[in-house]
Amino acid sequence: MIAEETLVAQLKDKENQAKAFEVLVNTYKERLYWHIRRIVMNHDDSDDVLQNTFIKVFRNIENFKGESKLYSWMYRIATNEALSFLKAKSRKLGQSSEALQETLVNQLESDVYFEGDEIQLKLQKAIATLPEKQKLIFNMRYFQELKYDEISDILDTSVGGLKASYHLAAKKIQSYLKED
Amino acid sequence: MDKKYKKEGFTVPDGYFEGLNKRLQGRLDEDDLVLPKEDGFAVPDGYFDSLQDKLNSRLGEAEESRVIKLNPWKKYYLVAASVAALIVIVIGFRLGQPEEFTFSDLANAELESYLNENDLGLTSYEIAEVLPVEEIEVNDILDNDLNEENIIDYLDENVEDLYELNIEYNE
Repeated sequence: MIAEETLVAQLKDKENQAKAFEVLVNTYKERLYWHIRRIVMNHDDSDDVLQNTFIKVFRNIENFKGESKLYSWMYRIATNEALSFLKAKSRKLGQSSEALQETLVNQLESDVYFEGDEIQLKLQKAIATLPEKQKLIFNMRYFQELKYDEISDILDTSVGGLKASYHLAAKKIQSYLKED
Repeated sequence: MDKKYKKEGFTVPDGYFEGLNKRLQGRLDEDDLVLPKEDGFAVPDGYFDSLQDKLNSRLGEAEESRVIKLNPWKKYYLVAASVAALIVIVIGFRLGQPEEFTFSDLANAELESYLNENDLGLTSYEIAEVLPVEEIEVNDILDNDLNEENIIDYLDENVEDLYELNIEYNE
């Protein structure tokens, strides 16, 4: 596994850029994909957003100063790209963001790339009712098992705030799942 | 109950401590909802393997379009150079003939440059008095190269709830 500083230096160097980019994509594509997928739900949209994320990372690598981890920086770009995508989609459909969440989660049942069972579908519906930030925090902590420190770097929120949000999100999901 | 606590005067119901463990376990079971660990999302076969190629072609296309854009600029420079040469020739010709130089002979760019670089000693009010305001529109002064997408992106980043703006959507 290449050291982060070395990878960043190679990405900034025209000679080594192309090869370094392949290493970057290979290393982070799955983690970033699933993070995006849990936000936008649909595979094709996730593919678009993931590609946009990597292109943006490539084009802006000169602006990466190493003040945070490369991974946190990329995650932040991916999150912003996914959320912007959803905003644009809700504008295009003339729906509020809450209504769009409901639409997207209802489409999962007939989505060929959703293989979850009844309880997994219900869990997605529960998550879809959460406010945007709580949903992000829940997904990152519960499914991706990121540490609170890592989530704090990405979302620029205190660890205490994250723990509170996660606890609240978990409670709301539990209430939703207990209802029939 | 342990004898040492009887001294304080407090007592508990019979069997309280014996039953405590069972009661706690019951509460934990109630609160402990088992959530599925997998989210259920799946990807098409070979998706991750094909991603790099897709990215490379997108970056390759972007590079090509940047190269193509250079050519028109070369033509513009040639045209601009020819026009500049013509102007120099014309001015040289006219300078040979004594003529009264009027305002209409000055290019707008030269006027603007003069006004920007020199302090005329005029206040805004004095300038406003001679400016024909009724005939001027904002677009006469400002270059409007904003397209709708730029406006929407700006609003998106700076306005929390777009619905506050009461924008009507043409579907």
